[in-house]
Amino acid sequence: MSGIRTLSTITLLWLVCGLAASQTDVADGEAIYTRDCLACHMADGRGVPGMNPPLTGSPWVSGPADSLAGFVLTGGFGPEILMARFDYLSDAELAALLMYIRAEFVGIDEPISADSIAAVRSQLP
Amino acid sequence: MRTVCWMPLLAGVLFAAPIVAEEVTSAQSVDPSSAVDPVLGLRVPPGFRATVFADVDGYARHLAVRDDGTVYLALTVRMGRGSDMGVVAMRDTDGDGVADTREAFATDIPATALVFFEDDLYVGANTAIYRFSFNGDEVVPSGERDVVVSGFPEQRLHEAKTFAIDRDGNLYVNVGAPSNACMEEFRTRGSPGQQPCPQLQRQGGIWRYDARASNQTQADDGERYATGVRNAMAIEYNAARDQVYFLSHGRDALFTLFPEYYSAEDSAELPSEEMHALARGGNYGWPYTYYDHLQGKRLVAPEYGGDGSLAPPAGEYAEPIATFPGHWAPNDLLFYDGQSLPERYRGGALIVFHGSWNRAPLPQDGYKIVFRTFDGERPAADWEVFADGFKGVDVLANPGDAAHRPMSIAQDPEGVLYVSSTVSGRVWRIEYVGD
Repeated sequence: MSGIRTLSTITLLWLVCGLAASQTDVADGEAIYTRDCLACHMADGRGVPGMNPPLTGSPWVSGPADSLAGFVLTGGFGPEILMARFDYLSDAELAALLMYIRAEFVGIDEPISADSIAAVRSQLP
Repeated sequence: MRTVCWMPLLAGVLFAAPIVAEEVTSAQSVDPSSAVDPVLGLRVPPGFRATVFADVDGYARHLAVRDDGTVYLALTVRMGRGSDMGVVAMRDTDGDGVADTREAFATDIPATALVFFEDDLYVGANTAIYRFSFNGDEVVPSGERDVVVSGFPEQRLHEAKTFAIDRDGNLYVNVGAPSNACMEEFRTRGSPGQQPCPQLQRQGGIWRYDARASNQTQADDGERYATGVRNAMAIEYNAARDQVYFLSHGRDALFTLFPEYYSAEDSAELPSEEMHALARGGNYGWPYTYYDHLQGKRLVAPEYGGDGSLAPPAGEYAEPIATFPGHWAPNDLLFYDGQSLPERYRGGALIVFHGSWNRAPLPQDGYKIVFRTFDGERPAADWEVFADGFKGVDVLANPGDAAHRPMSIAQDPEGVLYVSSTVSGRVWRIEYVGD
């Protein structure tokens, strides 16, 4: 019983810390969004009709996080250029940005780790 | 956190206030304290009356009015917007200020520009300029459709061919540049510009042809008359001065691409939208330079080594005869020479600004028609708002929320004005009724 209680406590602590950490990341993500994305995709994520695509309702944004990371790192995978590359963002910055975008514009509140971004980056040509 | 994240931006706004003070309000301009009629969708100065002439299905472009008063409107489909294409001819047969006949033609053409010359209607599409001839007083031209010039590059950005025709039949065609600033890598932060920019060979300039000839091609006929023009949507021949004038759309994203040199506030206000008098052999600066109306000088673009203060060698590029704030998107120009407006409008320029998308995080701006008097060859330093309220809200964050976006202005033989809006397909009639 005591073992289980300890495990529960650790789980709870991990959850709380994880949640706090994720809130910080989302905040950083918003700052990055404001700096690098807002000019085209707008503060409300709806883009500019016919010119800059919306993030709200985008299947790329609501789809798998690693696909979205690949899109942002390459500017749409090519060969047709859809968007600028944002590969100058660090793994942690991109993770925070994607968490913000998904939470804000498609309502997906899931942690994304810097390691998972690094894994995507390592697979790109 | 949201508030904290915005603090640096707000600080930028407070400490880098723009010095644009050329807009003046007078008894003759739009009264900024007056209400905008939300049903009508615009606001005009005291003494003027605007009415809805027509609501058309489609993405409305330029207007032209024939000598008999028939109003022609170009329609296109672009960037996922619009439905019908071609030209719509509209007549107000009972004189109530509302179009009561509508006939469409050339519906296979993505039409943007319309000019009447020697009784023919010239239509600017994306890769060609066409000429339509009328038999008698028919509203829809029944003659053959002539290709005046074709073979312009296929492009998805700045593809519309606007043009002007002078009294000698010279046809000046705006061939827009297919990029923001000719970067080596598409809108990528810090990317240098291509040197020389290969797009300037076929695009980013004004080409001259013979308006009376047929079947010319861009590659084999005419000449590159001027270069360094990113996209002169507003280009107009002024018969009184025998001079073509144009306004071009300035480049975007100085802050996004070069945050080391520009703040978000700088990037919202810069570069200037420039107005020029077209001269043969002129170089108007794109993509190597841009104009900064806050500093009052031309500067080297950051893609080409600029840092927000470095000026290019003197004398290499034309100086604008007038400037406007960044990203307002000048889409049409009319030199008023009618009789029905007050004398002060005669010879002055009415300039239509479609409105910005690239001023975020500041509110979007433009979405208005301004009037600028001319003193001889040059426009006056000050300008005033002739029509606004199109966007439908006081503060517009996203261009997609604008009720109307003004596109074109034309005058009928009596000097009454017509104005079109892209996103709503609306055409207004604006007349002077006095006090």
